[in-house]
Amino acid sequence: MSVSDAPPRPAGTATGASVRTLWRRYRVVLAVLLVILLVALGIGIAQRRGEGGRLDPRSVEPSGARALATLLDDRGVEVRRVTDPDTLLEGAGGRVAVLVGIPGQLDEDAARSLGTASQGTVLLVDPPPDVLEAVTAGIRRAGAVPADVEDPDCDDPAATAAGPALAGGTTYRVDDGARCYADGEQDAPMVTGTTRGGARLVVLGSGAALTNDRLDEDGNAALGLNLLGGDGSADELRWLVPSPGTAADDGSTTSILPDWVLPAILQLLLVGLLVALWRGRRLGPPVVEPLPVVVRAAEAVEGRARLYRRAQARDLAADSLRAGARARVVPRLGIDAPTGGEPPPEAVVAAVAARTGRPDAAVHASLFGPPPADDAALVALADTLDSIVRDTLDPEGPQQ
Amino acid sequence: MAITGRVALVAALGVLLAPLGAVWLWAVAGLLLVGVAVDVALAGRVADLRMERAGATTTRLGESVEVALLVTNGGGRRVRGMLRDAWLPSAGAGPRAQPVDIPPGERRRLVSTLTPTRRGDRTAAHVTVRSLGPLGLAGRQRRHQVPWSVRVLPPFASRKFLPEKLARLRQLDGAVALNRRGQGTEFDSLRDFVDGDDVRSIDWRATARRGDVVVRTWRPERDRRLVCVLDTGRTSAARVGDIPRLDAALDACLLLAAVAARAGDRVDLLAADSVVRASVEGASRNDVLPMLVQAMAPLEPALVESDAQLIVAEVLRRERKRALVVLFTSLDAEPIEQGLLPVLAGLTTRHTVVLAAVGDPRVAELAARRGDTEAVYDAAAAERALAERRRVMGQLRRRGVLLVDAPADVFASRVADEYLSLKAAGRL
Repeated sequence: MSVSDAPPRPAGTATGASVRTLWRRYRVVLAVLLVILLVALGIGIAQRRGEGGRLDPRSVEPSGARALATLLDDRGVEVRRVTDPDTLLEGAGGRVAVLVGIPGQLDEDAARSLGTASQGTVLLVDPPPDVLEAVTAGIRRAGAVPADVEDPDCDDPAATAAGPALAGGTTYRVDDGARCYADGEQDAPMVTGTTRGGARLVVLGSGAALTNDRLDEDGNAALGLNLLGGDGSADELRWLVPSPGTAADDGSTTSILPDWVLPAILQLLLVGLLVALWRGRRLGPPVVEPLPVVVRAAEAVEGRARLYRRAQARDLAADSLRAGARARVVPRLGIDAPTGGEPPPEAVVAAVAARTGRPDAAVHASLFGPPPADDAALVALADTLDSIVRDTLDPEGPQQ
Repeated sequence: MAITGRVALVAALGVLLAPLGAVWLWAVAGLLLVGVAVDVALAGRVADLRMERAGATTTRLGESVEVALLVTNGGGRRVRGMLRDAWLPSAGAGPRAQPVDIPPGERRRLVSTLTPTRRGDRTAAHVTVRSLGPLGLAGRQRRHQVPWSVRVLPPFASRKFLPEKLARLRQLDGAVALNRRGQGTEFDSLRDFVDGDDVRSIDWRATARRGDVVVRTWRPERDRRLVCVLDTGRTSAARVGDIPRLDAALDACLLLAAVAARAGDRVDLLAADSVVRASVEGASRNDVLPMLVQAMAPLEPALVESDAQLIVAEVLRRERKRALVVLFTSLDAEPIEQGLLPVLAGLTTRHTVVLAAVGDPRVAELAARRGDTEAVYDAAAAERALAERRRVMGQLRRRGVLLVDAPADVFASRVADEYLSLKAAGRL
């Protein structure tokens, strides 16, 4: 026999996703995710164009200082953006101005080396006490005043030439130097002096006058230009801005943690993700089952009771209680009733009164009377009907 | 594809390497990636498994059965991992998942134990297999559809009444029927006269032939017809106590059929709401119960208004001869008055009609409440429901319908009693 008798292979029962069906199912989702990613990247790049923070010569934000940098550039001052404090004074000559917009970024060494500058101009904006101490000997922090437009009222030529300008913030006390915008006080928000190395030093209590936002008001622009070499006193301005790395270290806790903590935290996040993937993958989808409805048979009755209660339907309630009581007593009274109807009330009242020994009027009021006036009367009526039914069905009861 | 807890564990241990430098973390991640890739590549293919089922196809509600899953590995690699044989939740299948280890070309038998919690056809949903690689880090996961269905039959809890009903039936069959003749009985046999026999039952013709006194004996008529009509419409969904009216009706119908089959009557079944849901016709005495149970198993209350006209027409079409029609429905006023009463006459002129409804003790309980305002309003609403019920019952009685209105626990027994008393009275 040449006929193969191999049993037919049972048809495969495997279902669910092969790689191809997975791709087909999720390609739209992947495409959407990709689009979202690209849009997010685009937005990020667009926002980075105005990079930089407060008093950054590239920043076009209100708190940036691009306007001042452009003005200085127009007047022949070369603005160099410096991110490394150590290179700030490299090759600096007499016609170099140095601006430190955020002195908090200077560590002790950098501040001390800045203090050794012997020529040119150094401008510090609101320096912390330790930086100020490292840079100069003659200036100390005193207090603070609110920012306001003030007359210079001092003998510093840069401030005097600029006229009234926005000043305020931290105030300083100086032993030997100009005190500007002091408004008659002893401590001033702008003071001049010398660094420990002998260079000219200007300390501003606040950088608000130099920002893009306020530069066009009063003498703010003139003050900034005069101080930073726009008046021809300098050819080059070295503008210290926080580098991306050092900015994060600005007094935050991460700087005191060991290097490996961040990778360890990332690894822990990965562990969490893996645990989620491990526990989140079900062994097959949940099975759905159509469930039977649950309707309690007495639900309609209970619903009607609530409606009665809400409507305070004492008349309807009394009617049905009375009808119920009559339906219980009438079969025991031996009264002829017309087919499908109730016997006449007088006959019922008389028979019930005779069997229970109650007065006719009381029985009539209970079984056929008007609706009760209030809820208490309704409760009392229910009890009365109960006792009438009881006495009628069991006339021997009361005597015992 | 799926990963295991080991991947997370290895990654967690990798955190300890963090002080040595980030490069070690990269190394751990790379190692894991390679391990997962190797595992997925080397795991046995789930799609190559062939599955069949064997085992029970019916059970009674409340009992357990076993269904086996035969898994053959048709692939070239060992399949090792977990298998979940998923059923409908109400099938009560267990265990939830079981380990499998099938070398190539071999077959394993995995048993699921089913303890269904609902009547009807309980079907298998799907079989999911997670096949792990040699490292136990990751594996493949895939589903198979292996259809199977276990029919869960009604529990027939009223079996406990059966011996008592059968004893009453034997009474009817023997002593009672001996002295009684007339409608509802038929000639059984001739036998010698013994003291105490009714002289009216002496067959004089046979006595003359035989030369000895002979009496005729009678027995209840056999081969009468009985139709259980189940209303599966919306009113049958309502629960009395914790069981739907329909389930109580099924139970009563089974007891009735068991008694009637023993008494020699033919039992038919019709279950309908707006369409006919189940029917049993012309079953022989011996297999009527199994056939009824099979027909009843998948019945569920439908949330539609029952079509009384359809039910009556269907009964009239099936039963040409006079029959006892037991209608299992409810005594709610609206469906009876709007639906059944207008078409009832067609039924009562041809057949004896019994309407059996499960009474709700909760209504009587509410009607007896007293004491405060809330209770009295409850009582008033319940009284109103009772009055409607009385009105409906009065209307049905006037049209010659016999009523069985009993709470769920004795409902089946009362229905069977009604049947037995009709039989004793020869009214079938």
